[in-house]
Amino acid sequence: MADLRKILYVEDEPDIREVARIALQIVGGFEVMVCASGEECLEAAPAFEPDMIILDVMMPGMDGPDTLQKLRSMPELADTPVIFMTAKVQSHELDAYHRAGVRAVIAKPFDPMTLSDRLRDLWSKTSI
Amino acid sequence: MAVSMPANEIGRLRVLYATGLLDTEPEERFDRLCRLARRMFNVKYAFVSLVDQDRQWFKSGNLEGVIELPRSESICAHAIVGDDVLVCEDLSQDTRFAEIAAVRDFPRLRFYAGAPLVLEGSYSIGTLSLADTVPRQFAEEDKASLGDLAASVVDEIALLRERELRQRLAASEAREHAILGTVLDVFFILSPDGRIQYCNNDSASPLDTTDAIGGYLDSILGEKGADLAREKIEQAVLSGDPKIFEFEVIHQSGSQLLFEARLIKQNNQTVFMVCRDITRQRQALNAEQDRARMGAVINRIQSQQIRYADFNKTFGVMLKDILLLIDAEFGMICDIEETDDEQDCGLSVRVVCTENKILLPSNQFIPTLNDLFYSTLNSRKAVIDNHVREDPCPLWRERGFPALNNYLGIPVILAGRPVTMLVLANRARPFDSEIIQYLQPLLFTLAQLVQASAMQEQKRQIQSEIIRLSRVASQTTNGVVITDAKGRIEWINDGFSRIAGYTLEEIKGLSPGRILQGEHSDLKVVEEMTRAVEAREPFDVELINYHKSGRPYWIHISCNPLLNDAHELEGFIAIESDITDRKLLEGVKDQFIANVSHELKTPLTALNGALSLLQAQEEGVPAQDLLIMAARNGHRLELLINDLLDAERLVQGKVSLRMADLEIVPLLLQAVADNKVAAAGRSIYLELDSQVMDIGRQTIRVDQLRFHQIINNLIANAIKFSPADDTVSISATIRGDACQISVIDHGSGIPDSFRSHIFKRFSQADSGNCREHGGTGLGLAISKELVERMQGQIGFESQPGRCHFYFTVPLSEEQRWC
Repeated sequence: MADLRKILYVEDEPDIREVARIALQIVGGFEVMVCASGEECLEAAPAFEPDMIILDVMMPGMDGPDTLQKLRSMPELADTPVIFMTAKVQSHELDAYHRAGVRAVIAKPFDPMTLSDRLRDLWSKTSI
Repeated sequence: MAVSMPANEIGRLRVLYATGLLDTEPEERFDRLCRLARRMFNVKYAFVSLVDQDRQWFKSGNLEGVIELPRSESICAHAIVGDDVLVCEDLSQDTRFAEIAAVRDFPRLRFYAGAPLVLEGSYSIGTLSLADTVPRQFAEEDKASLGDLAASVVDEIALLRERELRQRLAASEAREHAILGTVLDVFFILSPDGRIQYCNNDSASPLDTTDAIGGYLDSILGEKGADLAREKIEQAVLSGDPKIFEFEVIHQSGSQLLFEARLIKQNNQTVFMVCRDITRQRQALNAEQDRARMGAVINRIQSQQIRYADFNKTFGVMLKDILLLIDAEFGMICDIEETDDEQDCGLSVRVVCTENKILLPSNQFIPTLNDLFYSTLNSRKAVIDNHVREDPCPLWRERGFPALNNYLGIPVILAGRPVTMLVLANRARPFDSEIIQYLQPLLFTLAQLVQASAMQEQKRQIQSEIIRLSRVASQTTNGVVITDAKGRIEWINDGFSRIAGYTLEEIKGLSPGRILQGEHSDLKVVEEMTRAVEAREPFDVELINYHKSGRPYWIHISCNPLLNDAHELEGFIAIESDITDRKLLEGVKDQFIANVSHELKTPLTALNGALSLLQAQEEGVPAQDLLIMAARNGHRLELLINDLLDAERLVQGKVSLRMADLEIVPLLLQAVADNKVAAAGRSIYLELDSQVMDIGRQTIRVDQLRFHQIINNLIANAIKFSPADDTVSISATIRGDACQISVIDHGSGIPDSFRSHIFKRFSQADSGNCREHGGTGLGLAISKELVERMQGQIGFESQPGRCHFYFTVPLSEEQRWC
């Protein structure tokens, strides 16, 4: 199984985006690309060829589930694991995310120091 | 089974056939002895059986309908062999009998005792037998008794033969003698002075005519009867006409008999007299008259009840009639009132009848009972006291009622409990059990009336309860539905009609679920309701129902099964309340909580994340950037929290305003400056309408801080909802005593569904995860509250492409006077 190496991170809130970027790139040592919207993500993803995509759920314009649906229709990204990162984690919301085909959900606020380990953990589980 | 034969079998059969009993009808005189035997020995079966050449035949009694058995199956066939009583205490243990049908199979006889019927000294023609289905012991004295009874059977057989002989003899005698001997009438031939020349002294008549011939009538008719007879004989002789008279005789049994005598003159020396016992005839006639009177009384009581429907009046009429029938002076009908103490109960008097007057004391209560009443109630049977020592009603005496000298108390039992008592007293003759018997039909009528009265009372109570309940039910704003046991609507109240839109006529007999549920009714809840109804359990649910018009509404249903006294299901009653408003508010609050939690979590995520990264002191982490980020998000959190607290304090009236007279223009310039950065962030151009400058130095009376809070909120909203690269314009105009400040954007406008509650707390026109709008949903609610506190008004005009929010504030007072 290949190691988790490249992560595409999508978040409209600049501060959170920055925190996550530092956490993944500097603390986790991943190769990270960050996007500010779903549209940006769809544009950048095919060339970047990420191992994993992390999407914020609530975003202006295309939200997380919309973006996920679009990604699924792109042949080169159809099987890339997608993880949602959101503050909206009531049980009926989680059900909806899983129905949309997400691999995992990480609740906000998240701990930037353990985020990378969690992703590696999820990667090893989802890849089996 | 081997059949043992008596040694004298041929002679025995001859004697048996000579009795002529075989295959004859049952006869009471034998049946009576069998009944006696059954009672004496307490056995299930007792019978007289005759043992024929090859069968046993039951003359009297039988074995479960069997009247004939093969001799090989007969136990009696064994009994006739010996002279003594044959006893077998357990047939199943006796090798002779264990295998015969009546022992092995139904009726599974276990016990047998049979005494032979011995005729002419040595011929046993059959037995008097006892049998039972359980083993039992049979002592020596039992054997002796059975033997005695068997002797009685033999006597009856012998008697029959004697009587036959006598009848044959009589038949051969003179014809008229034969006729006279068989009639019940006594026939006399008398001389005019009453001397008896002839009488048929062997007639079956109860008139004792032994040694009558040659004597006078006095010894037979009694002195009184004989005097009457002589008088009538004289008349008959003189007139030549037949004479009829009646006389009474005390029979040797002690009973009084009534005779009718008919006299016919034959010639001057001879008069015929025929005496006939008419006691029974007369009794029957009297009884018939009594029955007719009784029937008339009952009819009168019933028609009285139908006509007046007043039970006490009917009881009064009834009581008066009873007193007339039995020739008594005092009567009373009273209800038995149970008190807490079971030993003690009182009487509530319904009606009293004395001296032919009916008195209705309107349920006067007799609290404690004396011995006479108490023993009547306690025994639950009619009680007679012909020598009343203790006056049971001293209280009534004071009111002119008579003292009681004799008494009959009859309790009326309903459902195993004495409920009413009939008291009769002061009868001319003593009370006896015959009178109770005689009154039976009336007592039955009384019981019926008492029951009807009780039911009427119960019905009256139930009806008033129903009226009360239905009044409550129809006036309540809640919906009330009553269904039958199968869940079909029987009744709804006005409240239900208001909620669901249907009238009773439209939905009677239908299932509420089928009419009211629809697309969005939660199936889990519907299943829960169905299950509870089937299990006859109460349930409490909240569900979406549909109005007749198709409009959905939220309903709370509290449903209970209705059980009758016998705990049988009669139906269901459901109380329904419309909770649509509550559900909407809950929805708005849920949405608010979701919004608030998201809005709080966003800066918190950034703040915590930045601090966490700083703490770890990882190499390459841009510490300075992270510190700035932490501070910025901390500030953002503070603003949000202030917003929330502000709204809460405003609602609670805890915000105090510092009003001042301030110039309008600088306030608006400040507002534009404050929001420049935020607008630039979304490429929005913030413009102050040039006409604002025309206002000059006019002042308004406002709280400066709160004014900025309001206008900043409107501007922030306008920026939020504007398309990128657009303009938000701010203007102000003077209108009368107020200044109107407007904020205009060119966004999509306010959705229709949101217009009515845009200024309510916790609301935000949310659409899924689209987070262009942000905010707590409190801004406008806070603004409205503040504007109104400053004596102004807030409002909006919206259409797609142009949204105009405005608020007014009062001009400073001195300026108004200008």
